[in-house]
Amino acid sequence: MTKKTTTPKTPKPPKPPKPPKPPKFKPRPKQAAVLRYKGGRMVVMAVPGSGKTRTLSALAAKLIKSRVVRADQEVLIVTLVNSAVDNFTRQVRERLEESRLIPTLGYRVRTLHSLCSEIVRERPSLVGLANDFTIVDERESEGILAEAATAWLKANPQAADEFLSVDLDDQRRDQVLRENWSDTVTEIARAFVRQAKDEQLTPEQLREQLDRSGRQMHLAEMGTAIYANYQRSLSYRGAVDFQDLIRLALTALERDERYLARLREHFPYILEDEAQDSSLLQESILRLLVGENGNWVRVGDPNQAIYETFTTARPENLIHFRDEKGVKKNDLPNSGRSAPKIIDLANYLISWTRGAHPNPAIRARDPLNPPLIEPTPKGDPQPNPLDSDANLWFAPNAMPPAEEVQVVIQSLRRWLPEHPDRTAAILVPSNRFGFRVVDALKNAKLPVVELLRSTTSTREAAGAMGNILQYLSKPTDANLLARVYKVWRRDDRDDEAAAARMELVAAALRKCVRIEEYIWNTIGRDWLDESPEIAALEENDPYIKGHLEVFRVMVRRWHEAVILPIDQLILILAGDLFAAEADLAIAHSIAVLLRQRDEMHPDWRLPQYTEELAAIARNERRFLGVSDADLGFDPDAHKGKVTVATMHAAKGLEWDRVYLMSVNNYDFPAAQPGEQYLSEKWFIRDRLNLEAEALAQIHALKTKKDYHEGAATENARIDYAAERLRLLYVGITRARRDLIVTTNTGRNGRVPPSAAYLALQTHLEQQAKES
Amino acid sequence: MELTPTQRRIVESARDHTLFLYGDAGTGKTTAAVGRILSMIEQGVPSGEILILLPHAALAQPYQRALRSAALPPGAQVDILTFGALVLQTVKLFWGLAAKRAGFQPDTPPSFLTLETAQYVMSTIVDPLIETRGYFEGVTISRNRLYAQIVDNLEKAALSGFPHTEIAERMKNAVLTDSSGTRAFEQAQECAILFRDLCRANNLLDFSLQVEVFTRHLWTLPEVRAYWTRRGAHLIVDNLEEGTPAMHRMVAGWMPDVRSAVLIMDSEAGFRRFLSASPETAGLLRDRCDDVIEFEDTLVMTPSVAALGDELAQALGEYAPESTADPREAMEYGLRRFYPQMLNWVADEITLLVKDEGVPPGEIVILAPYMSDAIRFTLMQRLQGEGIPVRSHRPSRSLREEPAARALLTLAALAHPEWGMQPAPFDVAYMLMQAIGSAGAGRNLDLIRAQLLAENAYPGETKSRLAPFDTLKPDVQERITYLLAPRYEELRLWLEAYIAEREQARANPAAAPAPKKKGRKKKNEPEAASPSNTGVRLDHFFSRLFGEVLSQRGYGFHGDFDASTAAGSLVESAANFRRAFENTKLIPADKTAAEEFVRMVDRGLLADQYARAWAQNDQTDAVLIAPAYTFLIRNQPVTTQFWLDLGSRGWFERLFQPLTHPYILSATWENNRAWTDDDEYEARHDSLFHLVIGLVRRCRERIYFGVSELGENGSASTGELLQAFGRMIARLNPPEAADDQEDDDAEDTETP
Repeated sequence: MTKKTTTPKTPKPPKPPKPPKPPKFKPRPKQAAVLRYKGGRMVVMAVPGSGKTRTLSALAAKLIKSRVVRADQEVLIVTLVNSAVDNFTRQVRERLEESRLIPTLGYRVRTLHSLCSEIVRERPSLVGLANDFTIVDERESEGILAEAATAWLKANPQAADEFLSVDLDDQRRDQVLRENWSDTVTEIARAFVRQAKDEQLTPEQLREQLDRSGRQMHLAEMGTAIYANYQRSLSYRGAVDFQDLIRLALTALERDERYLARLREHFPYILEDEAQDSSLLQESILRLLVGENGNWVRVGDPNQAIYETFTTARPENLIHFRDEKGVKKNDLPNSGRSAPKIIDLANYLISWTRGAHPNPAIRARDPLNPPLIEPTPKGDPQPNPLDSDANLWFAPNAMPPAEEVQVVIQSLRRWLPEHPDRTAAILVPSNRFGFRVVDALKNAKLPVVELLRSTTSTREAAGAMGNILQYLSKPTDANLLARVYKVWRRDDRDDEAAAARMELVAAALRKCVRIEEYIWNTIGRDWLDESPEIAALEENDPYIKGHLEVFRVMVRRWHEAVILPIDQLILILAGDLFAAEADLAIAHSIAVLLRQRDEMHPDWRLPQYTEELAAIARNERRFLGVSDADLGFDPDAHKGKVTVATMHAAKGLEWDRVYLMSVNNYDFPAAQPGEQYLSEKWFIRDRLNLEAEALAQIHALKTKKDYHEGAATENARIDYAAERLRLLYVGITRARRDLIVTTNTGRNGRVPPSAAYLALQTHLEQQAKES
Repeated sequence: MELTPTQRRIVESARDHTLFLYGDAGTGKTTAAVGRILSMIEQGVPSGEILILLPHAALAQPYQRALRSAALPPGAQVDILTFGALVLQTVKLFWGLAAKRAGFQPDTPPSFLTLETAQYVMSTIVDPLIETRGYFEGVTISRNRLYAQIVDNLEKAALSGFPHTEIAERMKNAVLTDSSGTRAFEQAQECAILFRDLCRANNLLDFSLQVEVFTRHLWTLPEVRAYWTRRGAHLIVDNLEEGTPAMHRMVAGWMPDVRSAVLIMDSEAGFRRFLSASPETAGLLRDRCDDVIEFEDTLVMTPSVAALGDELAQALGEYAPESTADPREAMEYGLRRFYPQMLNWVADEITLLVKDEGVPPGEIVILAPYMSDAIRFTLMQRLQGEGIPVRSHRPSRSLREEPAARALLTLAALAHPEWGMQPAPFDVAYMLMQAIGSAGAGRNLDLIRAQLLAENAYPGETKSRLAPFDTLKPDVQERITYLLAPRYEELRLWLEAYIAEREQARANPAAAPAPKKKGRKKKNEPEAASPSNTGVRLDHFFSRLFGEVLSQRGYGFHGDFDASTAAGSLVESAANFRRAFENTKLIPADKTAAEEFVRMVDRGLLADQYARAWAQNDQTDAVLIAPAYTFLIRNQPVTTQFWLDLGSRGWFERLFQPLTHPYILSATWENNRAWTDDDEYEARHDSLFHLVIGLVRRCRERIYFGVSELGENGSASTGELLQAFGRMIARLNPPEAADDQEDDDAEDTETP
């Protein structure tokens, strides 16, 4: 975040900087084979680091430039996350910039959500919507769901009896009812609603099925009731959630065949990235858009399918597609990303999983599949790093979590100063663990970049404005004013002398009891002239009064703006606080977001908006809008620092050195007896995974098959264990040169290393012996 | 004024002729009509016999301007009426006749509902059905929109001329939906019928009923026709294409009786289809005229702007360019990544235009399909920072967003503790901040002191009356200053006196009107409460509070134009509400009209008045920031246009509402056929084309196209207009042979 400096008021129109010309893309043979695609259906299995984004964007650019795609048509590229959208857009654009076309046209890169949102927005009335319908974001939707769950709990006070473990004594039982039950119900309902929508089932249909089946399915009863209530609340707000968008898009396409025909005409080619994470709905929508004889390229890596829990996405779907009739098959097995010994480790994980995993049920599921990763051929523009320049290290023992963090910190403390030109990341299984690591790194004064839920600059911008709103909602509070001052001068922190002055001024401001005598000296006295603190400061800093004069004028402007609509207030603050375009863009998006909040909650005042911004800043809320993540996170922009990310968020990225933490049996289980699972609550009878059981009931209702309690719980363990193996594979393949893997004993101090950890460790030891 | 030969022909043609003028925007039709009016008056035609009829008020400006500046004989006054105003005047004038024939009670006066009050009435019907019978579960829509759509459907039926009982039938036959959607149409139909019945029973006339009473029961009467034939012996109707079938039928019926007429129609327009505009039925009037005169040559566009229009038309698949001029001379385009960057580009270019090239600010307009407050505000700040005058117009916004209106509502809540609406302490502080002090005097109650005062004098939860200043802690008194104290006290005492009066009136309702006090009234003491009326007249309350306190010297509204305007709007809205409902039983028994009004404002149901917003800022030489359609229907060309965010979907999106439909509920729709994507696409495409071409034809010299990769909410969007624009650029920059080749080579080579 850059602070506004005192530039002259009339800047010349800024010319956007010309991006440096990218090096020419020289496809290697396997990539060239993909680029020879002319039409039809094709699947490309791509290993990590095989350059699939470059290949796919080159293919898109080629189709556009060769004018196979008419000027009124577009190549549709569908990918998984916003950062990938940006990446594709940039790469296609760069390749079109040499042509004389507008480089942003001829293609459309969308996530499934944004694609569906456009499909619906184009014909909202087909699905009973107005064109100004709102999409509630995660937080809003959580709130509505929680309300619906609470209402249901009130109406069904005895519902817990059916599910609580009989072993609980009265005291424990009361405690659970007080502290856990409502959250549990909300979690089940969340999974239930998501799955029902994925299966295209409305509350009415579920109700009907339940009545017809004549069976007692308590979870489905509960889920259906909350689902119905939740949908009513959305309707009343004129809103839909993300899941509805996808469901409604499919409905719209099915309802008007002429509409579908027009879209097919408009998108003659569909290129799908990350196809392994495609849900059933996504596949249905794309199948419809492609049509019988359309052109569809699906690129993916089933080994990197890490978003399957409680969704209908399955890596097998892509494999089945590959085996469909008439589908051309291609591989991108070469990767220049990692040193051979890291590649070997990743490949070993594949073969161990298939041949030697202790659980036969997992082996049967094929969590990881060939193709194995191959280094790039000789002479390739992206040669693999040399083994001699690479390190692989597994911690010999599991440590308590705090110790594990310290081991990593110690390692970084040595490594970072010696490698200012290299990149490093710590990858963790969960956000929560990530926050702990970040705190520890900050305490150790190591330079850290966060890539956890929302990104640092969005959070800083939201935080800065949140601080100011907080002050404006309590303008009599000198402590808050001092904080506002520090927000305004936040760049001073980087300079020792300036930082010292900032602290002194803030301290003086905190002592300003009658704050109006400073800010609004227009009536009565002026604190600047009368305060002993200011007089003292002035001895060393003759300009201090002028400086505080400037601050006062700005604060006055903000005071006068509090009565304006919230979006205008935000824009005024942003204009005073930020200079960088990206920050201003974030502010603009925040203004639009808060305006929407205002329309939904007319009773909101500054404290609620402050809370909203604080939630973004605290990371509780994924903020929709411009952010670093959407702009594409570039690890190479953070050399000499360490990035902390979840393994999920690290997908698609690479660093010179990677630490994988907490590779224990809790985070990477093997679906063996005696293991503990987050979704199996201690207070639920038979340790049922109620979420999984609820989903199984939906499935039973839909397919009219029998439901057997407990089967879903067991199955969920296997699914989860399989997915975690793929997550580990993703983690390993992020490293270019160095990979350090550690494990911890968990909160209770008794969690063993994961089976995979032990297998890989043994593999390395054996190799060492052999050599 | 210099006239073209065609225009001269019209001015000079015989006084008993009826003419139909047809042509593109900007070809001089209106100017010809104005010339003819002035010439008629000059030649002795009584101005009272000339009537100018328009589909809506914003189109009146060219006529108003011309008539103002013309040297008309003293006392001469030419009437300009909209169709709606004509209908309303007729119904009011001939109410006795109308009531009997249309089944109202002739002895009680009618109440005319505005759009807002009609929505309120609708809410009294719809809300109970939703709450008790689960109506409208099949549609995702906010309540306010729901009311608005049902009211709107009634208007569509009346204006297009089909029975209001046919709405659901039409929708069900045409819209592709499922059973829950069908159910929603039936429910909306039921509510429409209930609404109509309720209106009849209570002598309430919304616009749809006004139109029905007018067309079915009044326009057919000889005395009504005679009245209007007298006032409009010489009839001028402009912008027929924006008029409704009801208006067209009326004009058709009028034609045999006029002495002369000029009917004017724009080609490739009809922007208000969503308000039942019907170019199709407008075109039928051509045959009712003696002469049809086609206008062909533009008087607005330079050749290169015309060429640009042709190119855009071609890119939209309409027609091939004829022009030989270079369209690139008439355009600039800026491609930026972020939205604020694009806004900066616009502001920078305007600064250059005004400061370096001397373009008058009034000749520049900034257009976007939707103008969010954030855009408007950012641009106004930037341009005003450069010292460039700016004016802005947005169609309407809800009253509760006006700070001044909110302050007045807070005061109303404080003055009526019996309502039990305790304003939030924040609202009290903001009210005090706005109320106390006068703009620019530097002696205002600032935010800090206002908050202190609110915290100490208004403890909120315990009671909702403001405490006397001298009961505050001495320290707090000192901080707020004794300078500001008297004004706070005056305001507080005024409220106290008002409350006391009302308490007295309630305790003693039979008491005769309070006798006028002798001698001078004490300053700032409220006038006596209205006799025998313990129900509050909120509009009176606002007027008095405004007149007796807030607009006085030393108070915040003194000399503050914007605040006074907002206050005016609020008074008008409250008065409308009260007048509509004071004699009906629609207000729940335990509430007063005043409370209901405040509740409606809180719900965002009541909006600021449309016409007022126009009137106040239309004079100055300032850059105009406006939604594209708003600019179009004002019908005034400019030198330079800026189009914001070509990628926005708003450019080609029509207004979608699940329960209504501008085409299916129109005069020309063939019932019993489905509305498919082909219809949708064609309709949307036509409206995009008309919008684009309409804007270009209102531009003299140059258009700046702003493109932002990421839209306002941060996500990418490549709408139809941007795609068309891209096709145009591609055509204007044909590929060099090398373009296609070199890359393929690189990619196909299987390098080692």
